[in-house]
Amino acid sequence: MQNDKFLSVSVMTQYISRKFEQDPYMQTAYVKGEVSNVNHHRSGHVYFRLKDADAVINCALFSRNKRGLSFDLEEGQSVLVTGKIGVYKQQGSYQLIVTHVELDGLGQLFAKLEKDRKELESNGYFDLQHKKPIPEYPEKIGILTSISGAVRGDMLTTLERRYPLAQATIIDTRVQGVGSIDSVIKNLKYADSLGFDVLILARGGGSIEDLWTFNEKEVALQVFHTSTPIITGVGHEPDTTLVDYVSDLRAATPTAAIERAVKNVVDIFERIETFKLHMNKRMRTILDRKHQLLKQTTSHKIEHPSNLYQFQKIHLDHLVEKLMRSIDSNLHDKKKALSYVEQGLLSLSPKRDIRHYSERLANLNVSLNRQTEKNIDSKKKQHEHLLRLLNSLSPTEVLLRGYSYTEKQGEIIKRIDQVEVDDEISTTVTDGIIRSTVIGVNKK
Amino acid sequence: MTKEKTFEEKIKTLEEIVVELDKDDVTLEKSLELYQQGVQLAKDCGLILKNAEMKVEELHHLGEDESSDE
Repeated sequence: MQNDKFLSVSVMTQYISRKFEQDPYMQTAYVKGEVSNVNHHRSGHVYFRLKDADAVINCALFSRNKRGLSFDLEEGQSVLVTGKIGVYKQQGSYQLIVTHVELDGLGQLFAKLEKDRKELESNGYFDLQHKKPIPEYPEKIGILTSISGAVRGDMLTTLERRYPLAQATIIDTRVQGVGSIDSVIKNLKYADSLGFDVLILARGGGSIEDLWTFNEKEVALQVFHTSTPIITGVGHEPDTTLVDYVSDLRAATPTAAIERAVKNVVDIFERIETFKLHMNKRMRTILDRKHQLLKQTTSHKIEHPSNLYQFQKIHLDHLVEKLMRSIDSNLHDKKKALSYVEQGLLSLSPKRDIRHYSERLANLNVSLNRQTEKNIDSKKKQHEHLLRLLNSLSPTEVLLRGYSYTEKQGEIIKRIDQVEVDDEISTTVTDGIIRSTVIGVNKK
Repeated sequence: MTKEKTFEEKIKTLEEIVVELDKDDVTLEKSLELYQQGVQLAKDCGLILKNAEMKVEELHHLGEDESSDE
């Protein structure tokens, strides 16, 4: 019985749990605090602690609730958490089951800034090609800043000291707080229409909230679309605002913006001096050189005018010589050719033949004569022989040796038949003729 | 009215003259002309700056604050 008033741990825990569930403030709890002990679990859930100076609440962000999150939970962030307080029975603790987290205040601003910066950057707003050149010697400078405050004075003093030639116009602009965005945008448009050589958008140092106007996307876009070259000088050295990314030139501070806008008159004086020195030196060089040139020309061409044609003369000589050589060689060739022809012709001349033939003729004559003589001799000898032979055969000869011949009517009687009895016949002897009459014929 | 050259135009011209004068093929006549022009421009520019400085000094002596555009 005594025991009855004691509840088991489970029952007690269930009771507490039910109490939590019945309380609307715990079912939909809005808690703000600083993030600590962040634990990104393998499962995708995130466990962290939300704390302030005096207390801590354990939080669990389940992966399904993480989807709406535009940032990563990190140590030290100030966040606004929405969720439900529940009991974690196993641990005997309660925890905030987080359904939504957003960055508190500045945290939220920075997240938005980061988003805007990335968007502008990825759309090419920061690209170098959009940066307009800042004129070297601006005459009219438009300064957009607050007319109150030390910044304006500092800037004007710097400008006068550095470059008194420029005429600066301050366009009073609300640079922080309510209406500052509109003021900056409106004045940028206005200044752009006034024909300045360069614009300076400036604001002195301040808290990050004070400078926030220059982190606004609308302001940055207006800076980007300003057609006059624009230099930004917002805050102190380490501060970089969104407008600094889109302006044509970023200076760390307002006075630095002036320094970037204009050269120092001392430097310009020095530069002009340098120009003068350089021109003098250069002029002297040019004169020296022209003088030298004159001297050279005079000494070479005027003082020795023969130089003017010397070369041509030599050239002419060369040409003549070459011409002669060429004629000679031509002549020589022709002669040679002619002599060839002559030799050829000579070899074809009948003279030689004539001589040859006349020689031959003479020879023939000689041999003919000799032969004829020989022939005549031979014939003579033959004749003599024949004569001798003839002589030996002559009837008279025969008659001398005692022989005679008998004719009848002029015909030599060789046979008996030629004569008959009583024929008159004549017998020739060596020293006369015997006339006779045939008295008988005796045939043998 | 012929428009007077601005300081910027003058100093730019001076720079161009120096470059032109530095060229090797510049004739004597041209170089003299450039030199004369250059020296005159350098003098002009110096004068403009001096005048501006003097004017600023003057204004400082006259007293405080003269700005524009409320």
